[in-house]
Amino acid sequence: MRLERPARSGRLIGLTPLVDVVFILLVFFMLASTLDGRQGLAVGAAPQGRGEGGEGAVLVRLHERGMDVAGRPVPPDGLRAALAPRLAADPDLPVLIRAGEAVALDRLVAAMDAAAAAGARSIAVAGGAGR
Amino acid sequence: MILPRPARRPPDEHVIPLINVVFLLLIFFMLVGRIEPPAPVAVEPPASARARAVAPAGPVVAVAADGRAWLDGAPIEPAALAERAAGARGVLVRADGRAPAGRVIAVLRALEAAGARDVRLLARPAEGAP
Repeated sequence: MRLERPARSGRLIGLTPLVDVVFILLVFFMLASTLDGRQGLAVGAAPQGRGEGGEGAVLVRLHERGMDVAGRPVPPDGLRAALAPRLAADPDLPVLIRAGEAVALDRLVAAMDAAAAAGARSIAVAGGAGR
Repeated sequence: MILPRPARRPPDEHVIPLINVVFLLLIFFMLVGRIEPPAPVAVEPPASARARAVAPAGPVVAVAADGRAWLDGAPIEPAALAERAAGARGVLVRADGRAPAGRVIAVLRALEAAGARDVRLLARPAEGAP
């Protein structure tokens, strides 16, 4: 069976303006959008339960020079080693990191990383490393 | 002077594959790309081994290396964040790694007090991290 092809109706709008618009949109989105994915840390509320900075939590204080864990000075790269035995004994032990006013955020994030690497499940941060 | 009009050529059929490809590229960039407002300050986020991909959703708080803060491009004091960001979800904190930690913590505390949920601190993956 042979069907008659319908006669092609004349185009109302040419193809060229459409292509122009699509090209312009393409260039706009290519230039205006950024493709790199953003990465971040979840910094939630202070962990509930044993209380913020209160009883039970091990306190890490960051000073302008050096840091201490529960009052004992710790070398800059020794935080993980200092926390690991405590967290091995009690994996749910909350870690509270207090950062002094002038401590850079880099150090705070590094301390959070070290605490997480030592096995801490709940890490809270607080301002002020008061003596 | 009257020039003869060039004879109209039928629309080229071979343009259609080109348009298909351009449409695909357009849709790709529309879906994958992200259009964001210009950042108020250049920020070098801290490195972290725990950085995970975050989906942009809510307001963006920027904290510069000198501690100044912006909410969605407008300068703001951390104390004022509590009311401005009340109930916000998916807040991204773009803080510079050299910013005073106390200021960043004040911002986080203010967001927490405002009831903001799903607060993320922008970080870049540390070298050697997966």
